[in-house]
Amino acid sequence: MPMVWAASLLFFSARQSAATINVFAAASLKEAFTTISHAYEISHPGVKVNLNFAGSQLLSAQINGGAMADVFASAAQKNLDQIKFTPLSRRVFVNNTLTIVVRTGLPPITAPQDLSKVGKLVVADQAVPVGHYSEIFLASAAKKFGASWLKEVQSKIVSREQDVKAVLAKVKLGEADAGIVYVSDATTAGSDVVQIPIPADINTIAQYPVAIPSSARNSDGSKDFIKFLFTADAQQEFEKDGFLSPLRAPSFIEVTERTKVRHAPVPFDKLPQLTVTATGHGGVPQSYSGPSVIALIGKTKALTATFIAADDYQQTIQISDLRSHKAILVKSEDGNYQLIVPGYAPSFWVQWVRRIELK
Amino acid sequence: MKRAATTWALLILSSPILILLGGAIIALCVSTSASEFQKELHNPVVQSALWLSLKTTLISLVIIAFCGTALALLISRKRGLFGSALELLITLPAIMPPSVAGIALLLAFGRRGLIGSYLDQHGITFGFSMIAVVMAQTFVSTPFYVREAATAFQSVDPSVRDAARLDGADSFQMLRNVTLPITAPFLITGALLAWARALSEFGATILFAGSLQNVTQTLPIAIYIGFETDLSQAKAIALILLASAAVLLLLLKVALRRTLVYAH
Repeated sequence: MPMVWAASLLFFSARQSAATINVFAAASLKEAFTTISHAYEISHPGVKVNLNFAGSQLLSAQINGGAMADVFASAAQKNLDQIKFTPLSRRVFVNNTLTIVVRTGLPPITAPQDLSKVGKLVVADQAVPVGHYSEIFLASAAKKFGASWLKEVQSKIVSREQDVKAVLAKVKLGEADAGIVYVSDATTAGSDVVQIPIPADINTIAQYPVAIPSSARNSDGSKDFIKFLFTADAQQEFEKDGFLSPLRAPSFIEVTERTKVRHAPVPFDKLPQLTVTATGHGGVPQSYSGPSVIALIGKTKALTATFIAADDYQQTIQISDLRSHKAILVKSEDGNYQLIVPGYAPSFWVQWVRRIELK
Repeated sequence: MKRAATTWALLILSSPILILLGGAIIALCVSTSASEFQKELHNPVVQSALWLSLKTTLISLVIIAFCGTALALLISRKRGLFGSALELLITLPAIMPPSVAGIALLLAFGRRGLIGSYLDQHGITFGFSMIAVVMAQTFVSTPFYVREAATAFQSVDPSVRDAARLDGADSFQMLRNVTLPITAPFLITGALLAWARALSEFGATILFAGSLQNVTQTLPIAIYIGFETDLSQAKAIALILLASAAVLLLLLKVALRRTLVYAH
C-alpha cells in the first residue's frame, strides 16, 4: 500500500511538465512580472508560467527547503547567494530606488527630513531586502540630518513587516501614516498614497539579480524566460512601473585601472573606426564597424581587460588579443555598445558594456 | 493472530499520516542541539517574544474566561433563534482562516475601519499595539472556550438546579456553588484549548497588529520574520511552542480525566 501512496505522489509531481516555468520573484516585482509573464505565455503558446511572490528572504528559504523554482528573481544579491544557482545564468535585470509613501491627506510631510514628524512609520524587517535598503537610507540621511533625527525617526517605527507589499498595504489602509518602499511599489499603488521622493545623494540603488537555481527542472525554459526580461517590451514594462532599466543608453563608458577612473563619453566619433568581419550567434559571418577598443583603452601597462555589462555579465580578455583580433565596440539601435571580438566565441561579445577594468 | 494482522494492516494504511506527522515533529526535535537551544534562550529576540506571548495570551485568557463565561451562560439559556444566531457568531472565528480574521479586524477596528474611524477621532487606535495582539488572539480563540462552556452549562441536570433553588439559592449563589463547580472540568478544558489557540495565533496578528519586537512580535511571528537569517532562532522558538503545546495537551488529559470521574 505505501507503494501506491508513493506512486501517486510521484505522479502528481511528475505532472510538472517541461512546458511549465516556476518563477519565484520578489514581492516588489508583482505587477511587472504578472504582466510580463502573461506576455511571455502569449508569445510562447503551450508554456505556462507559475508565479510565486514573497519577500526575497522567504523565497530563498523556500528554494533551500526544496521548492521547485526554475527562475529566482531576487531584490538583493544577498538572498540569491543564499541558494545554489548556475553562476553563468546570473543577470541584473532591473534597478530600483526607495521612496517614502504617505497616506493621502497627511499634511506635514513634504521632504524626507519630515519623517521625524510622522505619527506612525512602517518599514520592512531588516531581513527583507527593502528593509535592509531602508536602514542604509536612514543611516545616510542621518549623516545629513543628524543623529537625533535618526533616533526620533526610529522611535516612530511601529512595525517591521514581512515584505514590501505589507508595508504599502498598512499605509494604504491608513493604519500607518508613512512607510518606506520601492519607487516601483509607490508607482503602482494608486491614489491612496502620496510619494515623497528621496534625493539621489541619500537614496540607495537596489540591483535585482535573476538566476537559475541549481535544482531547476526546466532550465531551457528558465534561460528563455530570463532572456525575455531583457527585451525592449519587458524593460519598458518595468520602467512603466517605476523601476530603472539598466539597459538605458549610457552617456559614458567607465575605464578603470587600479584606482584611476576615467569616463569616456559616447559617441566615440573621434576614435579610429574599424570595420571587421565576425561570426556571431547566427553562425553566418557578418560585417561590423565601430571604434577600436584598443584606442578607447589608450596607453596602458595592464595585461587584461574585463568588460562589465549593465546586467553585470562580465568577460575578461587579454589586451594583446584585443589588439590582434581587432576588437571593436558596436553601437546598437538603442544606443548601447556591444563588444565584438572577431575569432572569439559570441559568449565573449559582452552586450550593454558599462565598464572596462584594466589589470 | 488475526488481531495482529489487522493491526498491521491498519498501521500500513495509516502510514502516510504517521510519517507526515511523526517525521515533522521528530525532525523539529532532533535538529536543534541542547546547547543551541540554550544559547537561543538568551537571545533577546526570543526572550521578548516569549515574554510578549505569555503576557498577551494570559490577558486574552482572562478576557475570554470572564466575558466568555457570561456569553456561554447566555447561549445556554436562550435556545430559539437568538441562541442559534449567537452560537453561529461564536463558532465562525474558529473555522475562518486567520487571514480572514485579520482583514475583518482591520476593516472593523483599523483607523479607517467601521468602528475604528470613530475611535480614531477620539484619539483611540489599536493597530500596531499590544491591544491589537490581544484582540486578534481573543477573536480567534474565544470559540474554543465558549462552545465548550455553553455545552457544559446546557448539560447541567435541571433537577440539581431545582434542588438548589428550593434550598433558597439566588442566581449568583447558584452559579458559584452549583453550576461552576459541576462544569469546572469542561471550563478548564475549554480554557486550555483557547490558550493553545491564542499561543499559536499568527495570521490575524501579523495583518492586524504588525510586527515589532517587544510590542507585537509574538513567538509565531518571530519564527516567520527572517527565519532564513536566523534558523536556529526559529527552531528554538518552534521547540518552545511545541513543548508548550505538549504541556497543554497533558493538562487537557488531566482535566478530561476529572470530567470522566464527574460523569460517573
